[in-house]
Amino acid sequence: MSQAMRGCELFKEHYESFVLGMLEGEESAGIQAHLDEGCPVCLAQVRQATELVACVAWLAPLRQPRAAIRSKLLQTVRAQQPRRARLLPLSTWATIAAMLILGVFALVQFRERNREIAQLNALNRELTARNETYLRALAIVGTAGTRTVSLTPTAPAAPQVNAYWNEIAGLLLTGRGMPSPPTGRTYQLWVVPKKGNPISAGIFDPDAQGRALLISRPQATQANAAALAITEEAAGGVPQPTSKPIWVGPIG
Amino acid sequence: MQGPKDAESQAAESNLGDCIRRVAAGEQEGLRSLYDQTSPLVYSVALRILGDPADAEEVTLDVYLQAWRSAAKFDPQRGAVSTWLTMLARSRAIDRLRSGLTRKTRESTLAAVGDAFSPAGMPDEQTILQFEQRRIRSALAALDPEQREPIELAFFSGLSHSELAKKLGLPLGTIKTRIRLGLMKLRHMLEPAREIS
Repeated sequence: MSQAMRGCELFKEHYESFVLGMLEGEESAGIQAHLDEGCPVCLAQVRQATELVACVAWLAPLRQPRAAIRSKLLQTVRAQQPRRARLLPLSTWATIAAMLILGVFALVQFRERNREIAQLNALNRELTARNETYLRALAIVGTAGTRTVSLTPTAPAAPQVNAYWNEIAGLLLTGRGMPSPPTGRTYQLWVVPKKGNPISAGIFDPDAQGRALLISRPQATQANAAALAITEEAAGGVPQPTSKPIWVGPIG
Repeated sequence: MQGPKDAESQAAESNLGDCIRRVAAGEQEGLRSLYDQTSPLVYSVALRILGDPADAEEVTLDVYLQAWRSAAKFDPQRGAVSTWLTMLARSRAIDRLRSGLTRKTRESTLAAVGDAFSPAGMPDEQTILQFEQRRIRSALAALDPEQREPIELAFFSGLSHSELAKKLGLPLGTIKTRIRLGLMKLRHMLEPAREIS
């Protein structure tokens, strides 16, 4: 008989006592060591002994526990359940917080960008308009048949103003160092015909640096025009000059 | 002699196996079902050992929390679910008894255990016992009192052979023999008593 089998023989009457925890000292240690070796016979016998011993539990008078124990159990389990069911882990909260911060930052940046874009669009429109103005001005100046008219100031310190008139391309007036008219007033350009009343060719105001630029299409022909003149009028212009010319340039 | 295996008992054990699987999967409904089906026995074992309802309740709670935590490790090949819970309840209750954390003294508990089983004291069960459970109770009742008493004391007190012998005033060898013969007889009456599913 092998040592293992001798062990099984030794212990076969003690399985139930072992399960009941009644064995002491070396008896208990001996069976435990034998089981720890994984003896399949003894392990199976101990399982059966456990099933048998558990039957003794039915000697206890059956009682129902209070309903509060059931509630407490389920409450405890719910509270112990991994917080992922109810709360996100800290790392996820940190990610959400970071995303929120980034989102707010992105929104601020987006609005900032939108404002910049709007400003750029406005500048673009202004530049485009200016560009068109300059192109028109170049067209007037560069087109064959353009007549240059120098408008001389009637006031001693005022600068000279030049006009370029092409009956197809239009009339261009440029000035430098021109004084700004008083508040509520504006400069108005007139075509003074050889016969009849002056014909308005447009109003203009110099910029802060005194630069003036006017492009118009006067309802007049060079052949019938005697001169170009600039007067100071009420803002928005007038149908006919109400004051004496400040600049005059004969056409001829 | 092969007695009929009650289909109802088989179905009940199968149901408990399903409950444990659901508990292992973290389903509270599984735990609820497991508790509803087995808590009377678990609580009754703890109450019988400890003699105090409050202590028994704490042990009961502890048993099911343990079941919740370790259901995934339960191996149905190693025993029935009800056996696992019953022995867990016994173990926890005896530990509590030995640690002195009970509300009653150990002596008074032993005295209560001694009076617990008597034909006149058989309770009118609050729960409907299944056929298998009635068969077990009948078999236990059929044991000779001189065999049943030490078996009962051994189960519900956690005393060793020598402690039990001293308590009952009997020789050590007599105690060992009576317990062994009583359990052999019980096994014979219950065959196939508790087949491992």
